[in-house]
Amino acid sequence: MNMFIKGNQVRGHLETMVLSVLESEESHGFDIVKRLEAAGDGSLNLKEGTVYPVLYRLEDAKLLKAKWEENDSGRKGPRRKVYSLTAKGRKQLEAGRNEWKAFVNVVGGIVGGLS
Amino acid sequence: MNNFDQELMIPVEEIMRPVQALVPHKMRMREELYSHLHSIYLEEQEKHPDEATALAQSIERLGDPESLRADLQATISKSEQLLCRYNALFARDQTKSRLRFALKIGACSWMLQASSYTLAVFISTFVFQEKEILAISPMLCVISFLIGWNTFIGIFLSQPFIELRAFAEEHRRRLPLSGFYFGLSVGISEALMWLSIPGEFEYMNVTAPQVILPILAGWGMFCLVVWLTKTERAQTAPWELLQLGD
Repeated sequence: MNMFIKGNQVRGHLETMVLSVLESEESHGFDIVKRLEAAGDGSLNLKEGTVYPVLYRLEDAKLLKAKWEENDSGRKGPRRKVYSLTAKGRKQLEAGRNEWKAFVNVVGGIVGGLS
Repeated sequence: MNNFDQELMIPVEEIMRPVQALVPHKMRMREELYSHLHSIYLEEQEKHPDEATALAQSIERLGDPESLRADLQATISKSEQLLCRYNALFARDQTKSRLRFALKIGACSWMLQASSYTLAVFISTFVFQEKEILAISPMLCVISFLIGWNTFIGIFLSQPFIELRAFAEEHRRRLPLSGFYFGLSVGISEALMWLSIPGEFEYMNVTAPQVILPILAGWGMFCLVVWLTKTERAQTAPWELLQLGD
C-alpha cells in the first residue's frame, strides 16, 4: 500500500528537508520541490507553494543564499532565484539530522510499540 | 504581455496583493511564484491538452491561496509591515483627483514640519529655558508652510508623468518644464526663507545664487524622483492593474 505524506505532516521538518536537498547542489524552487518528491519516492504530497516561505525563512536566517538565475541557459520563461547552502546552513543541516535521529529514536520507540 | 501570461499572473496576484511587504520584496515573491506556476503549467499542459484544466490543476498544485498568503506574510518582519502600513496612508486613491491627493500630501507635510518645529520651540523654551528661539518662530512658521507648499507643487506636477502611462508617453517633453516650475517654486521659497530670517540677516539682499541654485537643484530632484517612481511603477503596474475576482 502506498502511503501519502501530506505537507502539514512534515511541516516542522520541511526546513531540514530543504537544506538536505540543497546539500549536493544549488537549485531553484521548482527543482527543490521535484527533488523532495523524488526523494520521497512518490509518497510526499507537498503543496508546491509552501516551499517559498521556508526558503525565505532560511535565507533570512543566513542558512541559504539566493541569486537570480543567469540568463545564459537558453531557457525561456520568467526568471528564477537559485538557492544554495551557506556554511551556517551546513552546520544547521548537521544539527537538524541529529535532532531527527533523536526524534525517531524516542517517538519510534513509543509508536512502534513498547516492549 | 499576452493572455497566457495574464492567466498565470492572476492566481499569483490573488495570493500576493494583500501581502504587506515593501515593493522590492513583494516583486521578488510575485516573480518566484509566477515562475513556479509557469513551470507547473508547462508540465500540466502535457497531461491535459485542455488549457482550463491544465490551469486549474496548476493552481491546485501551488496550494491554498489563503494559507500560502499567511505563510508568506509571516516571513515579513514586523518593522517592514509597519512601514508598509505607513506608506499606504500616503498612497494615491485612483478614484480621487490629483489635486486632492497633492493637497492631502502637502497638508500632511506642512503639519509634520509645523508640529516638529512647535515641539522644538516648546522643549527649548520650557525645558532648556532658552527663549531666544521664540524670535525665529515666525521664520519657522514660514519654512514649514513653504515645505508643505513645495510638496504640494511637486506632487501635483509629477502625478501625470507617473500615473497615466499614455499621458507620460505623449507629453514626455513636458517633464523638464514641469521640473522647472517645481524648481522655480523651490527657488522662490528659498528666497522667502532668507527674507524671513530675523536679526542680523534681516536686511540681507537675496543674491542670484540663492535663487538660481535651488531652482536647478529642485529641477534635478523633480526629474530624478519622477524617473525613479516611473521605473518602480513600470515593474509593479502589470501586477497592480490586473483585474481580480471578488
